[in-house]
Amino acid sequence: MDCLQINQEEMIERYLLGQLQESEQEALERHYFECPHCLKELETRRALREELARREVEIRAEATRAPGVRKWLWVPALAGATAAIALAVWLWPRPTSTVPTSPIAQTPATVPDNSPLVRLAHVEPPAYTPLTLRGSTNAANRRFHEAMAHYKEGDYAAVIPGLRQALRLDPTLPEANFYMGACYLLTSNEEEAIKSLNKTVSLGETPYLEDARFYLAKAYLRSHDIAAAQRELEKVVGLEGDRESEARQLLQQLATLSKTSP
Amino acid sequence: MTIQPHQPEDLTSLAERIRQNDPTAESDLIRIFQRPVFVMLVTRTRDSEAARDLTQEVLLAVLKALRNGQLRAAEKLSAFVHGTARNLANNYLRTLLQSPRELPLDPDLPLAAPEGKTLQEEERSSIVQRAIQQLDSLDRRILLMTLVDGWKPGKIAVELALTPEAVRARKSRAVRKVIEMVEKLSRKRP
Repeated sequence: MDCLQINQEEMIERYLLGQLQESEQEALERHYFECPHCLKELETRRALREELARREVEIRAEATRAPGVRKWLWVPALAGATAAIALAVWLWPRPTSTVPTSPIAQTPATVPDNSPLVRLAHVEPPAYTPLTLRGSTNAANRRFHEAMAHYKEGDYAAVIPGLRQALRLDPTLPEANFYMGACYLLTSNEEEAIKSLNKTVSLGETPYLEDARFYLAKAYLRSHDIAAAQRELEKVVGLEGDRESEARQLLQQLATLSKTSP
Repeated sequence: MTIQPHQPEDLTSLAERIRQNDPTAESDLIRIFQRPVFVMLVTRTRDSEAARDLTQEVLLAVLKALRNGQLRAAEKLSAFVHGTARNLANNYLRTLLQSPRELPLDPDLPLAAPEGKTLQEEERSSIVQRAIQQLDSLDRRILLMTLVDGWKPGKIAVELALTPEAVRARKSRAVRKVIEMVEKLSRKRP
């Protein structure tokens, strides 16, 4: 048993719920007796479970206080965003006759920096909090953390070789696949970004799933594949996570854009 | 700060040092194994007070055995501590079944609350409280249903009118946020 298996099979969670087989329980305990990282994660999850149980009544009451409200919270937000987008589209400088007016038909060389599509495809580097996760027991993780030292300095091109080495050691490391995609995107290599981000998505239920889909949409936008970008953004909306409103806005902006483009 | 795993050779030499009556080695053993033993015992017994007492018993039993040279394969120190803890936990649970303790009927009695947390545990709890507070209320409910009620994403999805994929994603992200916050704030403290 190793840290990766423990993470992928949610063994710590199942252990705390008493849902592991005796043999699995033994193996997990033997592992965390020698792995300070997994022990720390176990202690944090135990504390989380305790605190949630302590606040159980309050948390359940929150849900009954505002039934059905959440579903409609996005409506005024969306209306506001739509108005803002319409205004922004109206204010944006119109392309001159020498520049193709359809952003979809434009090639990267002819897309002006201030074109709507370029603005929509703009990416901010995804946040990275350096953790000590799994790095202590796994060579791939150690390599990942070393590589990410460059990321903190904003040197995205320098991150890529280290991540490549990490992925050679463990091709299924979700964080390495995700940040590899992000770094390719930040260094304008959309084709490789799409491959890495698709790989992250194919790993299934990882903490990077939503971000991977979101950045994949951006990569498709940069590659002028609007339909694929829209598909990914719809999936982000479906995940109902932190990126939901951002994805909705982008979808709305793309819809507006396609209407205003001849 | 990077967490380093316990290297087998360190543990082997630790067992040897204890056998040779090196007093610092005994402190090292307690420092390395006190937390995993306690976490294991509290998870198995679901009783933090009993787990604390049992942890002391386990560490004493291990120290006695090591002083007397009873551990034949010193490289298996970790497995030996785990085995000792498991046996004492099983004995405790068997005894509990044979002679059930009387529990107070009044839920307001202080016994209902876990007592005697270490400073580290208190600090972790306080950071976790703050992290929970910062989560979206829907995420809090998902965590409660998953980590306390033990519900599967499919069941939670029906209850909250979400898709199972959305439940999984939200849960995964919320847990990550809490862990990151604990990591970040723990690092800042001396």
